[in-house]
Amino acid sequence: MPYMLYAIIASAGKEESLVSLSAIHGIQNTSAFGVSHNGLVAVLEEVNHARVVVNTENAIQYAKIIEELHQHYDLLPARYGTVMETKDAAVCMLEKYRKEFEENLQRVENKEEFSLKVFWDYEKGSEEIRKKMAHNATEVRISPGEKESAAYLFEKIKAYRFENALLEYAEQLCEEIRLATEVFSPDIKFKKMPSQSLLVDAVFLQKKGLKQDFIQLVSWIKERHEDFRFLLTGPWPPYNFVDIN
Amino acid sequence: MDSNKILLSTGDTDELLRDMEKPGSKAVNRFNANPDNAESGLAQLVLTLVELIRKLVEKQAIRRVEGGSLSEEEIERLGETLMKLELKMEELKKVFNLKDEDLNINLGPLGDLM
Repeated sequence: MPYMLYAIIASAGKEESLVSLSAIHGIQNTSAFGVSHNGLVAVLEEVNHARVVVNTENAIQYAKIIEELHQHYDLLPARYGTVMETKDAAVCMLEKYRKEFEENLQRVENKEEFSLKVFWDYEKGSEEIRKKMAHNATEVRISPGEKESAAYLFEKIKAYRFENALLEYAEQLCEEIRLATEVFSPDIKFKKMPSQSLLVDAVFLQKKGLKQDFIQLVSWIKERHEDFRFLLTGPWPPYNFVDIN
Repeated sequence: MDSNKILLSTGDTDELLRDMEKPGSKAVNRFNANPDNAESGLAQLVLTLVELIRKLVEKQAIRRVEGGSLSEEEIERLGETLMKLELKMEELKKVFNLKDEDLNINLGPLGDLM
């Protein structure tokens, strides 16, 4: 019978509370349990393979279970659909990646994740950037002359410069966020312009218990940028801060 | 999204969430081959890689033009080469009935290929 993997947790000093894993029910409504090896625990649920369907409903349910686990343990969340064929396979995995698991668990210890998405009006924002570019433009060495290839390259250079200007603009906001949140010294990851409407997508790994301070800080950043729309969510398990290759 | 998780939101949260899901200029397709479409699936994969390399070459070439390290003649030849490469790609896309967004594979947690 296969086993769905939910998370990796550290068992050191938590042997007694691990028993309570059985109170947590997995996506197939059977009790979760832990397989321990050298201070690490893989949280599993026995599942029927045929019923492990990849759909939104199951993925949300899976996330809720990880959320519940995160209320009790520091953990490395697994990706939905990670299935171990046997308990021994889970032990082998714990052994094989022990160093990486331990390092990552240390990184997320007593921390939680927040997400900040900054939206903008792409049309308006890019128009302003284009205007600034026109004002500060350095000469493009190719002029759109008679030759088709020269005109082609001219357009490519313009597009390249515009793309760089957009990223620079997003980087300025990232830098501002970085400086403003420095006081909490969180781990931060940014995605600049992941889509046209999303200027910056940031995730923070932050010490637990600082939620209200964090909200205040983001409110302060928000006030300085009334044109942007902000969405701050959390706390989440550290989904974006598990780096295992 | 669980409303308890929303700590701060400016504007209509539903609208923000819709914007979040709205695809940008980048495609989110997955490479999808099966016994019935093995040929076109393979063409899609190969052309995706060719397009990736073409774009990398193009970007590097433009960097060199911007860096001022090329002569007028080199720039002219470069422009012609890049234009021909793009035209050839357009032809190949038509042959295999592929659109721009088909030549971009979603790599899951790594994001889009291009």
